[in-house]
Amino acid sequence: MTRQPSEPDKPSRRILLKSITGASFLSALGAPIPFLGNLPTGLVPVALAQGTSSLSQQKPGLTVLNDRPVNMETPPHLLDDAVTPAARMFVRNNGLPPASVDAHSWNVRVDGEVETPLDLSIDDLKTQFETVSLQLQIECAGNGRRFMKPAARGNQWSFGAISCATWTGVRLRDVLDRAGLKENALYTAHYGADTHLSGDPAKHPISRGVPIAKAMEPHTLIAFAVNGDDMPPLNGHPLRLVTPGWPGSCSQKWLTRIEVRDQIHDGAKMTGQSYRVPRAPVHPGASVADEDMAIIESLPVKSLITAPQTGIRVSTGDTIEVRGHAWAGDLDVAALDISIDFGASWSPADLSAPTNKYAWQHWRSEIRLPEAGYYEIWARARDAEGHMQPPIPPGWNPRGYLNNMQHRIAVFAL
Amino acid sequence: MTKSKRIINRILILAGMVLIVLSLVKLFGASRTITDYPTASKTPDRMTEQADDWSGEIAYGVTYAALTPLGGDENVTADVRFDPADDYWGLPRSDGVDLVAGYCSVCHSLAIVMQQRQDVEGWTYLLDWMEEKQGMAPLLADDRAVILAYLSREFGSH
Repeated sequence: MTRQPSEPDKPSRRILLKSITGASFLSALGAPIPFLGNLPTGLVPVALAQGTSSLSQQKPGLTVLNDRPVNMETPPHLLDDAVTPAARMFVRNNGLPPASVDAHSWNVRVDGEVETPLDLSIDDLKTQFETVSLQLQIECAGNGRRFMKPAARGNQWSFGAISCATWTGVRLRDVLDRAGLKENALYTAHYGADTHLSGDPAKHPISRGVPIAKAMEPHTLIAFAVNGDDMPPLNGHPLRLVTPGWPGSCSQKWLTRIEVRDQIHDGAKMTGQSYRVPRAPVHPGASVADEDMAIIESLPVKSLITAPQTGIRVSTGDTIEVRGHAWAGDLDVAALDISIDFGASWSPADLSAPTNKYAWQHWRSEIRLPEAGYYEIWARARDAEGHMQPPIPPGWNPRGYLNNMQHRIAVFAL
Repeated sequence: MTKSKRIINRILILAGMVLIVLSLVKLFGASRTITDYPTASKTPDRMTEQADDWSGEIAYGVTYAALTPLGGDENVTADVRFDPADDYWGLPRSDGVDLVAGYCSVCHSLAIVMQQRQDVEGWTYLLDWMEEKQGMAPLLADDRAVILAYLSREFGSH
């Protein structure tokens, strides 16, 4: 691979920054810039210049995969808390979050195939519907994409696009009941206040939905608080959906509208290959036609080892505690086994029942490493229907979704 | 038990079973299940095409380094890293770097570009997607060729 030094007459980034709103940028590139006129001119240079420092201030310790749009994941050892602190919830943004948010004037509209369209403020939600607090897991469907071979397009998440916090809000079901679903109601369509990266106001960065049955599931919430507080701006303040167990993209952030439709929603990232996997298994690297792809619903069984941190050194013969969490989409986790010999033998860990359905379950075990050397601890969860986590990425798919392979940590016994 | 009693018993048992089946059908028919919505048309049989396309190799090389969970993986490890302080965000300096830096940074960070490892086909798909769905102005043919060559050279799949 040959690398040539930067040529001085080429437009450098600093020149681009200075001239991004001027015609010189166009002539320097010799090409038009799409939607330049739509770009919020004050914002773009700031977004370009801010780098990643303010992100690490908002979410200390998280790994920044992308700074525009913001995508950050949480290293497994920072997910050790039983309930994920807000600062450690991963971020998967598709567009730019709303620049200014006023929770008091925020409004969500419920319309489409309903008897009575509703316009509800956050205060209306709090006063007119029962408030519930539940521990709910939210995971990105692309969590684990990094380990797909050949590489799959998108943010290269490893293990940390998962959180389980205490969400407070109202049941989406209660709101839909108030609006009154019509007989032909089939699917929801969610809209948020974030803006498309191109600046085109006609485009939504993401607008997904779920079948009515999932929307009516009593754990699907319109949430206005997390862990008893406002949710972080990057995680959807002041209002978002929480659709636990399904791809995080079903949990629309900065929620402004829920439309009930009489067809499967066809909004941004509902169609094509987004959040879809092949209907039939394909070989790694296959190209798959859009019509052979099916929408992802419940996510598969999965677990994390959150303590100790990978790479730890322990004394040979000491007893060490190993612990973490396990979850299984719409199902409960039935068992969690660990191995210290690369999967040759497995022993069961203590596994707690979920605090409520869709809360992740905690597991712990004690191990003793018999002699000095390099060990890996492997964790393997099994769901209530008998599905187990595989040791390698299962079911390669073009966009690299649903990798629920076993998490492993390295331990040196010295 | 008389013959007529036996017949009446059988009729009652049969009627009971029919009732149970009917109520089950009604129960499940009336409730919405998560798959109770129309799916796309039946999957076309493209398996022969898929089989022809297969490389002939089982993907045994799928590994994960427990010691360095964010590194040691060929998908994302290269001698290039996103660098917000660099004039070109850390992009390798070779023919086309200015076009890639200019076009791709208008809407999104180069961090997402530099995470990808795609062959020419994959990068073509992405450029098409940017133009058709994401609002990128259509690339001039010459620029497109240079950009495609750059991306598949510097961020190709192995």
